[in-house]
Amino acid sequence: MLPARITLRTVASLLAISLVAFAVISAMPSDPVAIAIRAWNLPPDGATVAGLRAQWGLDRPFLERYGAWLSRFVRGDWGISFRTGEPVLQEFQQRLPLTLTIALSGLALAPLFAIPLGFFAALHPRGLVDRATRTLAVFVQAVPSIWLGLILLYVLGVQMRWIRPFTRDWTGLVLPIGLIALHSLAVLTRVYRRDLLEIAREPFFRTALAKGLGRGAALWRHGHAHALYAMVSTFRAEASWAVGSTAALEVLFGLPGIGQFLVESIAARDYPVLQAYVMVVALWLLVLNAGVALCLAWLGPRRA
Amino acid sequence: MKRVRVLPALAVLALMLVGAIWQPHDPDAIDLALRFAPPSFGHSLGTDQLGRDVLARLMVGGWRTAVVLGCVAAIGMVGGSVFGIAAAMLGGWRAALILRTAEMFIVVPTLVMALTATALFGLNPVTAGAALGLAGIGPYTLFAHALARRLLGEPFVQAARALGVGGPGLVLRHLVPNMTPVLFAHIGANAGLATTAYAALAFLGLGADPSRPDWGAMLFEYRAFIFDHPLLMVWPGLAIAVVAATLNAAFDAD
Amino acid sequence: MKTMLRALRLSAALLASAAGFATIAHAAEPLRVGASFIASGLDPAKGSNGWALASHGIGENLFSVDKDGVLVPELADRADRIDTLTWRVTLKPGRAFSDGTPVSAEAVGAALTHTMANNKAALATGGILRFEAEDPLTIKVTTERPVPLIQALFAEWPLIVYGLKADGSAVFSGPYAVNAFKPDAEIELVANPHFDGAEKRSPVTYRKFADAQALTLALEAGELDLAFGLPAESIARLKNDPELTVKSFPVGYQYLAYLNTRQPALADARVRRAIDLAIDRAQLATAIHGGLPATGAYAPYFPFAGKAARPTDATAAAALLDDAGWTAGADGARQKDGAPLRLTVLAYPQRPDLVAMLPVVKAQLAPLGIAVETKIVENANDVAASGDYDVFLWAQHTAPSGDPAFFLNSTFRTGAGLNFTGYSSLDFDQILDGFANESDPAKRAEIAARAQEKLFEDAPVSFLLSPVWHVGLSKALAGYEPWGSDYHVLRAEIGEAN
Repeated sequence: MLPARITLRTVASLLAISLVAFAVISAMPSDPVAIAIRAWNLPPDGATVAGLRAQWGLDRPFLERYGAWLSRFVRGDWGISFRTGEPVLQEFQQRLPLTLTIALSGLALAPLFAIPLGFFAALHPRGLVDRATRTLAVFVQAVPSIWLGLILLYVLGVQMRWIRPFTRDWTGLVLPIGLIALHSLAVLTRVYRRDLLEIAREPFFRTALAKGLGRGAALWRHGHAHALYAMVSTFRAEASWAVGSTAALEVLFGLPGIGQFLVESIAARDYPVLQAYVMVVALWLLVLNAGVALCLAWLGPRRA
Repeated sequence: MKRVRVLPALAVLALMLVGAIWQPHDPDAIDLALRFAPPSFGHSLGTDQLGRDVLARLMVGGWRTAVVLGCVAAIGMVGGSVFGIAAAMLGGWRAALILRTAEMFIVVPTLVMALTATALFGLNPVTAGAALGLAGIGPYTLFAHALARRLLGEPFVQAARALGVGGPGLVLRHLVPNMTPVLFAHIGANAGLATTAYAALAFLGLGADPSRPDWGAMLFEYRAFIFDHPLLMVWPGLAIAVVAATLNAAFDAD
Repeated sequence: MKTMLRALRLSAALLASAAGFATIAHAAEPLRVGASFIASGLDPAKGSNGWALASHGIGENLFSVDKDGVLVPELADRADRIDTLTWRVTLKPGRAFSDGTPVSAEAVGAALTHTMANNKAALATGGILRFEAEDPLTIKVTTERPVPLIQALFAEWPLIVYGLKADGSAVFSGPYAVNAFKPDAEIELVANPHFDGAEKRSPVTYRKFADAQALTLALEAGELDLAFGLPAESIARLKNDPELTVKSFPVGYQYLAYLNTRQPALADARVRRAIDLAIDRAQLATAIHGGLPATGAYAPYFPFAGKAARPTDATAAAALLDDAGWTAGADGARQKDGAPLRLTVLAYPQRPDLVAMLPVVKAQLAPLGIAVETKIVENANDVAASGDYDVFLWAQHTAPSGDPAFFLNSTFRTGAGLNFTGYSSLDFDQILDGFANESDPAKRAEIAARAQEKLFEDAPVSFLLSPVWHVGLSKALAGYEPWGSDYHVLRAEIGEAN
């Protein structure tokens, strides 16, 4: 029952987003026909203009246009990019795997380390791990990952030649994945730790200690599921942040992912690409959301 | 017991505001004979690649950065709280609608929203702040809603209701004061984030205007000199870190 | 458990990247080139692909501009004028496309006709051209408008030559052929077997770097053999690196400032001349770490470029403003009828030098009492075309086909396609009309000089700098000589250390 409900909500949200995005993009002041003519160097005569307007249905009412776009979209016709002249779907198919690899690897690595680190921080408040993770959390919020990336590039790539960040194999991905993981790690660790400590304040925790349980064991048995719940909730926000960060890192490292493509498309007012990008990212985040919701539902009854 | 270390945060904010009105030098005055000067008596933090006084630019930039933070806080936090509390008070299908809309805002990528807004209206603190704030409204709404719901279940609120305290009174007198500390903690945690997000927007080639500096744009502008004159990037980075840290400390409980 | 998961993660990443970056083994080590731009596609009739394909050494034109700025034959041998609208072009014998098909009159005619039908930029100079193959090496060309120097027309980038295949794809005749292509990201090039010297030409991997810092770092990390378009700030550091060679060269791009004659404050030519005189070009050059004050519309290495640097005279500028009725108040700010003199100066981020010059221009106009607001826009062409600006800092290649007429005609003639300033002068148009019938390059240079004099007088534009660009080279390509701006990054001879 729950998966079905979640799926329905996902699809509904996706439709709503597509409508809003379509509306916003249609409302933009620049004329897409003028842009296309200039970008593709087409002859600006009446026949071409009329042809493009008819092809994109620009003279028909909004809802009809939206419906036409939607039906084309689900069939796989995502339009032609203004900038490159190639089909948008093709561009996405070529570039999405790389972006997903970076984002998902980074996001997956983070909880792996966040749980043990958060646990130790909660176990020994004001200890070394606690203070280190707090410093790290402030650090990643104050220092843009691009700056850190530049410094690491210089130190590791140029001075020490430990990595070859611009090569076309997996060593080139180490830095971007690491930077994404670092940020999420810092945030998730603190969330996990904070919720563990909240549990430690509860009366039933003191009861457990009185019953002879060691602090660590008590924390784990009673606190872990609860803290995990909080951490998984925060994961949604981290995933959203990762989308933006991956784009910036792609530009910095020259990786041909979808983020770099998007940045250039925005500058060129490449509406077909913008529209498709909103849909793809929305879908990805919604799927992630759904996954998180299912996870939470599974964890829910196990909370203390 | 929660300790609120407000003083450093207030001092920092005050400094940022002072920077808007007075600077030691004209932040736009260039002096090509005195480029990359190290810190000295005349220029406390040295000069940049055009001979402009870094401290003056930092002070003017502080004000603009404060504008970004202010917009993000105003739209994101205040807007989110309003919607969240409304959802908790109204309940039913209205609450569901508000919450679903909030979720939708979360799902639309911040980057696209911010980039589109700034592409349309130009990259300046207000538009970027507004765009980032809108992007943040979703999480705040959900957060405020959860908080408010929890508070509404508390006995003292039930008692107030039984006594006949109506909607607005309930909200203002009971909900808001109890929610503010936690909400502010959230904001504190996100202050630095907003500034660096702005720096990222500038980096993505939206062209931050070099003659109207703010800390994020200064980071972007000086990164070309990161290896030859690293101090230039350190100052705005440090400023961001200090603001983030003090706001964090002021409102973070533990 | 953790380690295993981590290993799994890394292997997944490895597999994903391997799938994404499948490379083909080469016999020789490929040379690695990085630049800030790359072709968006391989269709030579689409957008500005023609320019990019020639720049990558993939395609050639009938005529081209060599390193001394002179128009020389490339695929064609000569062009003879038959009458006002007709020419006879003779092709060089023995040239072939990368798939072996000969560069014949028919192939060239079919290709250029296709381009004319699909790309507006090709029509700029002569209108629609018609091609008739008289024999395998001779083409009769009929132009729609009279063209005095058809070699210059054929050197324009939209008129790249290719063989149009039945499936709509194109083959080219340049020294490099495309092996693999990831649009907007990377091209793998191999030596075109039908171009002279193929045995000595190593394959090339050409990558786009959107970020100048990353380009510099890649060069320093030893991952590039040629980095094209290095940021000026990093040159000092790179010159100290014993593994690298840095070469700087003047380019045909000029930095200039369009002055919008339609704006009320700038409608008066005296105000525009005052701005032109107030700008200290030497200071601008210092601010962007290189370049020379402009002598006029053209880069100094062209034979028709001016010789005298544009003057700077703040006192004369102030006098002009006073003349025009803009009086300085007590605080120095200029006013006229109660309205202050306030201008918006624009630049676009795709040319970082322009962005760097913005604050300097602002500081230079301030002592004159002009309040300047600066703005950065990324869709520069849209904004300029709409006329919504006061002053626009611009970078333009002013003689891409080795002839002075194109820039003047397309940018300053009344109603021209790229006339962003709204400049309209019958006298000027008449000077330009002289180009239509003059084929002697020396006489064309004279007409260009007269036209520039008129532009200095009316000042719809202020010519700022003739910039210098930088390339970084590893030991493998230390013999590379940069020329031709970014129109010929890769060519037949790139100085391979063989």
